[in-house]
Amino acid sequence: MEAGPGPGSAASRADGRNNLQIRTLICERGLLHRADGSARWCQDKTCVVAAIYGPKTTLGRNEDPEQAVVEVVFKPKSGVYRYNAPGQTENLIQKIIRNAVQGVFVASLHPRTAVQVVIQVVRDEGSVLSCALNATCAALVDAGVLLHNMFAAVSCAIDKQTGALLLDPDASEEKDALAVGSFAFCASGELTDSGSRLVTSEAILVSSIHGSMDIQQYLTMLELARQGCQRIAEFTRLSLDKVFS
Amino acid sequence: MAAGEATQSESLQADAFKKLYPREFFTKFIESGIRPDGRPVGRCRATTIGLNVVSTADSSALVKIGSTTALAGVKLEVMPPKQDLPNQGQLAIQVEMTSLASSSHRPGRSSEEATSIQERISSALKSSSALNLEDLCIDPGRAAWCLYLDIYLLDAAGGLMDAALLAAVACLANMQLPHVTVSEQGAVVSATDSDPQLPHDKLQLHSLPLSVTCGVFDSKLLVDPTSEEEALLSSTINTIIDAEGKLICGPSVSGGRQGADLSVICQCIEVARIRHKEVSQLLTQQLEAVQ
Repeated sequence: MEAGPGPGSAASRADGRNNLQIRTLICERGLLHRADGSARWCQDKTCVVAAIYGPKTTLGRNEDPEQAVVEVVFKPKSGVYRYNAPGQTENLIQKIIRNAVQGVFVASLHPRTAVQVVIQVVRDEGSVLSCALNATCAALVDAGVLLHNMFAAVSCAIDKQTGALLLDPDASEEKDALAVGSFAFCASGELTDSGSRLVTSEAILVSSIHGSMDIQQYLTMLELARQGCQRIAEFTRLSLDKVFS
Repeated sequence: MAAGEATQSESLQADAFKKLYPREFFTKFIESGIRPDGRPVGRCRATTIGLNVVSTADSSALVKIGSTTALAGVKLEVMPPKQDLPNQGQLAIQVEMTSLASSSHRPGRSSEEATSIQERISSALKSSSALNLEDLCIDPGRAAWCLYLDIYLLDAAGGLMDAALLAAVACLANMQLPHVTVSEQGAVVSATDSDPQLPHDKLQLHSLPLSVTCGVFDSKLLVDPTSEEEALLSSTINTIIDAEGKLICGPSVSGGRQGADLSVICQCIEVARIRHKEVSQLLTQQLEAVQ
């Protein structure tokens, strides 16, 4: 028998969360031995593995004499994926992740090289894009690549019936949604009296939405997403603390 | 004589400066509030829409925004509808980057930019419910129209998404569906053969999604950047909006070198609203001129 929502709680979603609750986060680093950096990021059932190879040499026509080039390969859980001609959605996701990485990566340190990011979806139960972005950031940290900032990502959906904003939707909520958006915000370290914290800035790195909405709904979604990203950034800090101390 | 030589060497120096130090070259213009092609930072390039340019297509549109050119064409075909959606027709969108457009694209390979534009256009048309697929039904369960929409990017001079989406929308708005019936044996009979005076049905577009690309350079917002400007921007925001001011597929922020602030996004949305009015007026003018 499924556990219903607890007494007196505001939980209104199928799995007992309230609208602004993110699922359980698990982050594991260094799981692939051959890769320079790797991470597995799970948001409850959705699980994505990211691996970073580089900076390494690249084919002549791709190289940039002043900075490193970022290449992204995104492999979905099932279906045929061809390296030369990935499908439409994979192409779009690759472009989004590449733009996000280029936004935080100090490319001018490694001219004429390439950093390759490979992402494999292990299990897809909603919010795959934000999960992949979080996994990429964790893998970049594991690889020891120099970054300006880190970033944290979260997805948000507008429910068709109630019009409520749900953070971190799962697969059934995404299907019933009027619109689903994935957002990533830059997060940088800040030194406070009690030690350093990871704080999300106002700068939006990625905003990718399917569906239509009013401007007011978009702005509210953005603000909620920023708060959600702040919580994910805090979780990232905790998990980094465990590794480095 | 000497003056002529002097101006020639000056322009050579200016070109060399632009090639070697593109950022500084551009900053010199921006500081005075103007861009290298003479536009102020908030103005879009001149837009023209040409309809029915390809005679073999059932509907076509050629859009030029500055030098960026996109050509869209639709071919109709009668096909049996899908099993689980017997009342709906189909729309197949294909966006192709040609080698004419930019030197970095080689023929035969599908360009990443073209596929991401394709994905965004099909997502925009679906989310804005611009096209009701049930309008394409001829005989429920037996026959429906399939629209093959092809968009060719002929010149990549910045703002490709805007030109491609405008071309797609113009092409669909100009589309006329001929009257056909499907006989018992499955043969398609065109009603216009027997009665040439019968008017075609115009395809109804329920909304006009139109897009505008903006970029941030040195904390100034540039509207409709050219391809040289795009390379220098710290972040690019593409906003698709429809006539009622609803955001279709939201502003798509591509990180670039930094993120975009909330104030920048609000400005972009304002710009998109104004641009929508201009462009939809232009489109309606062209559609009426063609009738």
